[in-house]
Amino acid sequence: MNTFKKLTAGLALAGSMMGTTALAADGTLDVVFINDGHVAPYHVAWLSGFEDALKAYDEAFDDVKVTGRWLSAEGSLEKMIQQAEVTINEKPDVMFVNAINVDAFEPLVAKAQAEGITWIAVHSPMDSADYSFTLGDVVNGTNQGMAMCALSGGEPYKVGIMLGQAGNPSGEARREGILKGISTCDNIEVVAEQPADWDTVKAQSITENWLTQFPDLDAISGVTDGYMYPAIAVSQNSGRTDIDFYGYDGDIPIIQQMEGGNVKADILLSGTREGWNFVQMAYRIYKGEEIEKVYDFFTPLVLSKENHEIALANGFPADVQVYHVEDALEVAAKGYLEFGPDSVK
Amino acid sequence: MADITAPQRRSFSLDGLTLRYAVLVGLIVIASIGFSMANENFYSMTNIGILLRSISVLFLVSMGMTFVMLTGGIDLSVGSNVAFSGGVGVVTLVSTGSPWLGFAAAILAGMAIGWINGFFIGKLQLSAFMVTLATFAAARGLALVIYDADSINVHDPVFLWLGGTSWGNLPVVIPFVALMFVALSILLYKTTFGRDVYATGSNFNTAFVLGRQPGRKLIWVYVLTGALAGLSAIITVGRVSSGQPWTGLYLEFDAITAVILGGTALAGGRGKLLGTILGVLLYGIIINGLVLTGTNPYLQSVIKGAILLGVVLLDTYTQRGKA
Amino acid sequence: MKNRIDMKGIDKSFFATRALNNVDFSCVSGEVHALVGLNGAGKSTLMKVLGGVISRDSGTIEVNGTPVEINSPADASAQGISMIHQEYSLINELTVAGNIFLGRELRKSGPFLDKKEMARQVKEQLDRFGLDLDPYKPIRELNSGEKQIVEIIRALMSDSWLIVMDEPTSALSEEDKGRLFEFIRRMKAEGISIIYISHHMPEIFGIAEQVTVMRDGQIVLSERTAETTEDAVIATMTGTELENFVKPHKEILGEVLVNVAGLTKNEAYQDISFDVHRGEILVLTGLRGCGAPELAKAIFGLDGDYNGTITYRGAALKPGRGPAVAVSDGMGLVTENRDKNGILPQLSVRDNIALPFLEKSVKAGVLDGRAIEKVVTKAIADTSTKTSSPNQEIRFLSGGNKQKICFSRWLDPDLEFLILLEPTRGIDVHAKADIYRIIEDLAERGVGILILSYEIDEVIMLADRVITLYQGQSVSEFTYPNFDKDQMLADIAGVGQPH
Repeated sequence: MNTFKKLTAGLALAGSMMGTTALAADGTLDVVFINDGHVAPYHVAWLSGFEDALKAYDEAFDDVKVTGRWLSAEGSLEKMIQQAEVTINEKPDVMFVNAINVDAFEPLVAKAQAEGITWIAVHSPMDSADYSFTLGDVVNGTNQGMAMCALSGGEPYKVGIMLGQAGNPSGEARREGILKGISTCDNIEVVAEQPADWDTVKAQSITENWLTQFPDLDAISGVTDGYMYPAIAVSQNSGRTDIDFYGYDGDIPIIQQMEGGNVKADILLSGTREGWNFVQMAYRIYKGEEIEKVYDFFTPLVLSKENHEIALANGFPADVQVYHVEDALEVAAKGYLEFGPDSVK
Repeated sequence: MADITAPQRRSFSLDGLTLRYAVLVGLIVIASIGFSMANENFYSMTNIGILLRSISVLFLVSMGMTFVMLTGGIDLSVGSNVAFSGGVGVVTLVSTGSPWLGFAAAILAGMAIGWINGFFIGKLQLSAFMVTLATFAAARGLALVIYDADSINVHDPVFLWLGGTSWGNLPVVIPFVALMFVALSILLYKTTFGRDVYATGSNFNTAFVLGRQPGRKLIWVYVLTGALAGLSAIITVGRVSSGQPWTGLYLEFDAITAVILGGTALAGGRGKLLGTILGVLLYGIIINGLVLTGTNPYLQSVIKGAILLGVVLLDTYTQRGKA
Repeated sequence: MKNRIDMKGIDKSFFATRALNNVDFSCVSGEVHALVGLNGAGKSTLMKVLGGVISRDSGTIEVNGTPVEINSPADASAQGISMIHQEYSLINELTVAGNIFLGRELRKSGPFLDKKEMARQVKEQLDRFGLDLDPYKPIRELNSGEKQIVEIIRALMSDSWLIVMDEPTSALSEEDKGRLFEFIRRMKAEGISIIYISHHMPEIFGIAEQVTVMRDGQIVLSERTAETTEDAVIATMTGTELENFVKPHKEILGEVLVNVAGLTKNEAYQDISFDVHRGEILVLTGLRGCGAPELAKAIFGLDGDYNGTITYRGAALKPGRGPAVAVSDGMGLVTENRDKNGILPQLSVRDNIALPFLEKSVKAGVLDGRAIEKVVTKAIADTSTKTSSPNQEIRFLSGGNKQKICFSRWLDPDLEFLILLEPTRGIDVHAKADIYRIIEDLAERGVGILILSYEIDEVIMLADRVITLYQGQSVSEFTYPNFDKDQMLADIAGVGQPH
């Protein structure tokens, strides 16, 4: 029996005139995940992983009823605040909030905590939150950049980088990491950097422009795999089969194009894995386990086995953890392998 | 009393608008009952406070949009204008330390964008859709420039008061919005300006020939929506205790949806503020209820679209029956 | 072959209003059947039933004795029935032939249009009816009369044998009217049947074989025109003998209110000079294109692009000063196109009336509903406008009542000068008499009135003084009661001698 749960029940009893205590009854774990969107491929995988994990945990453990739901703010900060307010009023046990802007959520974090809700800041860390679930964006980006160095072959190498929405912390951190990684060698020239606003259609037109503008472009790097789909398609359709791609997110269709394809490296986030990780984390909190206040999602670099060897030969640091394509595909599709009920039994 | 706009008191003369309001009230009642059965929290005072507060900005912006749409126009720039005028207000507050200067700057900045819209639409007779599409992009860009694409935290209690304070479960912004509703109703129904708004939307040429200067009235209508965007910006900043460059995203579409739900004709000349209030309420209740019932967000869009289409269809049907 | 159509026992209700009550109506090929009645009598509804635009509640339609179903405009055309609308349904950018063949274009082999063949066929039809029109001309270059001809030719070329014309002459000049009547006569000779909706008795008795009068959704008279009289028809239309409007005799004693001196605008009017006295009705008349509407616009301040001077109340007016200044100076304007710039369709009768002088009903910054109500009630009564309430949206009123409202907004005591463009266009005889009376009342009160009218009988009935115009030049001036109708007609047609 955890103290957290009892505290919730007590507060609810004391604080509520209507005396609704049912939602804080022992043996339940209610998890709400508020995300900034729900239409990008990564989001779709993420949310479905989250839903599958809720079901799996509910079935796997008899002593606890695991429930939950996810909400999408559709990119609007105001909507997200309203959803958070409504959710707090519902008093779930754990809230994962992928805040569009963390500062705006400070008052709500305090309010949620006063109601006994555990607040987990997703991606952008918050000091006030109970926990922060982060992606290690800078480290991941650096890994992508260093992989580029190691696979570029020492010749002059021109790359264009597609960025996130201006001002988005995650996007900025990834950019910072990629540039940091690239700066470890001196043959790579960044010829263009452009925000594509997490929008695949914008990514498509940016690719088209770059192919015209830079006939000798060697590679396209992106801060999300969402950009890779149009970038790869446009390049292939215009006969530019020589262009390399460096992705980020670990989308399965992108990783599949790695073996013998033009995708050289990716960062294995995988929405499905992350969704599973959320529920695992919530369950561990429920069980009263000790968890780091800033929890880093385990996001290894993905390379083909062949390329990994080339990279190591070119001086890529051996201590950076790398998943090879096969392993990556396996865990990306099956979030329970790493984060399922078996991982905490 | 027999003022020029008193709603028709003749019993059971179900003209188009009365019918529309009855339908909206019916939908609001049905939605409330449905959601309260699905989730007992729906009727909690806290939730009602959250609901009303969450749509307070939409109330203000939609009332401004009602004026614009009564003239047969449209204002796509309001959402961007909320971000822009908020930016000007917050930057003024931060640099001068005076919340009052900040308020004034936010409202004036909103009016400035409104004036630009009005000048091109009223004076130069350009299409409202085109002009406000341009300011929609430009004002958002200016907001990003002012904020340097990052948010600015605000701590001044006076500046945050309107959007952030609650008296118990009652956020202060709610009586403020009610006050604005009364003020705007007087402006629309009890002044020559209000009559000219209707006349401009009903038939610009006639209004012109009758000496009502519809072009000039258009400028003022857009300045008014701009001022309301500035007020909304102040409320938004108070709500999130920070200035945000991406605030007000898609707000114009929510406002247009609410105004259309409320029975204001897209072509202008027909509609009332009351309808808009009901439209915003219905819209807010549905969004709130869908969150409370944990409805899949993919379905939420479908439901919103279906309601809008349903009400518009009903409208067309009843109008056709009359003509 | 002789075709005939019979509508029997047609009923149609809109909510509680019985628009058609057991109506029998027939027509046979080679004849013109005039359908008359006041606005709201049911003529349009009956024709909409015939055209498949609205469905009937009961009754049958028979073509050559066989019952047919007409449930859509397509059904109607399949039976050879065509409607010619007051609002022309032509596409301005296409040519005459292009419009006539719209939707059933002739093609050469392949996707290309056979423009030559289409033009040839159109020309053949035009020649058949003795009409002179270039098939290659774009519609936007045609005048109202020519557009109407194109619509009729289009109907004939899609094998219509029954053509419904609704107020076909309301927008036509005298010259075009003559051409239309000749066209109608030739169509009759070709076995075409025409239903002719009109208020103009001389037209009806000039071309129709049969006349049917509707009142309150019923047929009240149906006779061969040879066996009835204009007065009998008018009497059945209104239910009572029309109180013939008689112009009160008066002397113009008022001072000069408006002086126009040497007014010239290229291509519109040249060197026009006249005075309007307080209490005087000055009528400008001519053919379409005589320049009078442009002249009126200059005086009202809508157009400042002219030479010459306009003096009002002893002071020169600034060219193009705009209607807002004009209205505040006590000028009013009733435009020639009610629907385009005369009414505010979605607004109430009350708002439509009160608008120009709204500022007078403001108390402490807000509108005084009671003051407005007083003005509006009086205006409705003074003009005998028929409306269920001042709250009624104006778009649901008949044309005549809409026009009365366009007048009634100018009854304010501060009005000094009123300009009327075609004040009775497209309205029924009954409303006409009311409008003439309103005009006389205003003049009696000392308002100076400037009218543009294309209807010579109206000119003579209303005017204290008449100025005829021909192609932007003033030709002659007549003073009551010395009106010479024949001379006027000659002058406006450009065949009179300047005097």
